[in-house]
Amino acid sequence: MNKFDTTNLDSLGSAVIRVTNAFAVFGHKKTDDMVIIGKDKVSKTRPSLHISSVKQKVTDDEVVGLFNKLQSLRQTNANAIFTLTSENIKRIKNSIKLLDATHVRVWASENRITVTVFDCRDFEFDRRIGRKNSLKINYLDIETRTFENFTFTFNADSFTKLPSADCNFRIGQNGVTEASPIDGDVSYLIRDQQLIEPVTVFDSKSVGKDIAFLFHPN
Amino acid sequence: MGKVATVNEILPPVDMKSVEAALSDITTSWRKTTEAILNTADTLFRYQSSQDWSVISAELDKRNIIKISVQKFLVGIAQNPTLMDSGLRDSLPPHYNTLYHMSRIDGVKLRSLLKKGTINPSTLLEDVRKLADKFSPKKKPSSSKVVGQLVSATIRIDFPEGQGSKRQINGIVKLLEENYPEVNVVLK
Repeated sequence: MNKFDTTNLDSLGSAVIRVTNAFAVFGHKKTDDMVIIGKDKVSKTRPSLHISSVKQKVTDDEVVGLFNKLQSLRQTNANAIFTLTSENIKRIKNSIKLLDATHVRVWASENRITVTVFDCRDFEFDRRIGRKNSLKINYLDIETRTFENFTFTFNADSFTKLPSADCNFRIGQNGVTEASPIDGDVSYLIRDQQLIEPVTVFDSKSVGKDIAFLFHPN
Repeated sequence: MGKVATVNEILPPVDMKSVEAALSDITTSWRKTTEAILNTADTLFRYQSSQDWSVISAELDKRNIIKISVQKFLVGIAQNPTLMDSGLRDSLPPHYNTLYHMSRIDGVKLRSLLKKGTINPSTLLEDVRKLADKFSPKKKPSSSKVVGQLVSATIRIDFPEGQGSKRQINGIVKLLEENYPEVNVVLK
């Protein structure tokens, strides 16, 4: 069981909104692309906004308006819906740690979802040559039903904040993905970083098809 | 008072024709349960792509029709191509929880377990959980592929001098050991 602890929301992010029976937590500096929305078991909560644990002087209507704006991010058509099991989420998190990765990209590939974990800094030409960084990309294929072609890139820091539990992902057409752990009333809204890792391509098709191995320049 | 039956009395012979008819009725009805779960799962999956999904989901929960946690289980079932294969429906257990845990099993293995009858309509949740632990996809996220029974590989990794190299090596060894428990990792 991965129950979400709502008793100390201020520790989870930089700003916290509370409205009747619901809350929203905005991420820290490194995870400012993510908002956590959930049900609050504390009843009769007056709308409030805390930034860095300090209560802000705002009206109830302003807080409710902001919360409704967040909720509206969920009202979008989906490009894809898939579930990552706890084992796969752990693997991706391990991979992020190992590669010191900056991004995680998910995309549709022939009735599958492919997940790639990469460090975008490695693809910067000067840095790559100067520091002999590898161009290693880890990937994971997941068999699922897909709607259409899509690509979505997570900030790796935000991905590591997801619980290591089975999680349902809904890739929205508005550039916001909703990740909901199967066991819980919490949703993680995460914004697309719109970054795609470079891939090796051949300028000439006839040359490309005759190459079986591509040797490392070293 | 009516006559009390004793063990010595001969019971009337079983009418096998009526037994077969009863079995057929019950089987047909029981299979409809699986059908209904899969159809509901598929319907939820399709509506989940609509922009009103968050409202639909909340209303299903609020009106006590399907709890959000159960909706997520059903959507998980609907995403699995093997479970949604109409040719395999008669082999599936009629329980959403059991079906969801089946979706955690590697696709090729799941198909084989269903065809062999290892998983059948009477299979229980606890049995499927054990199978899911045993046969969940073990592939590590990597572009490497191992072909053959016994493989020996030497991996040379150059780390920049300075702090952090030991941590990175330990991280790589840990990942290898976690994902490939059968592989011996030797550091030189």
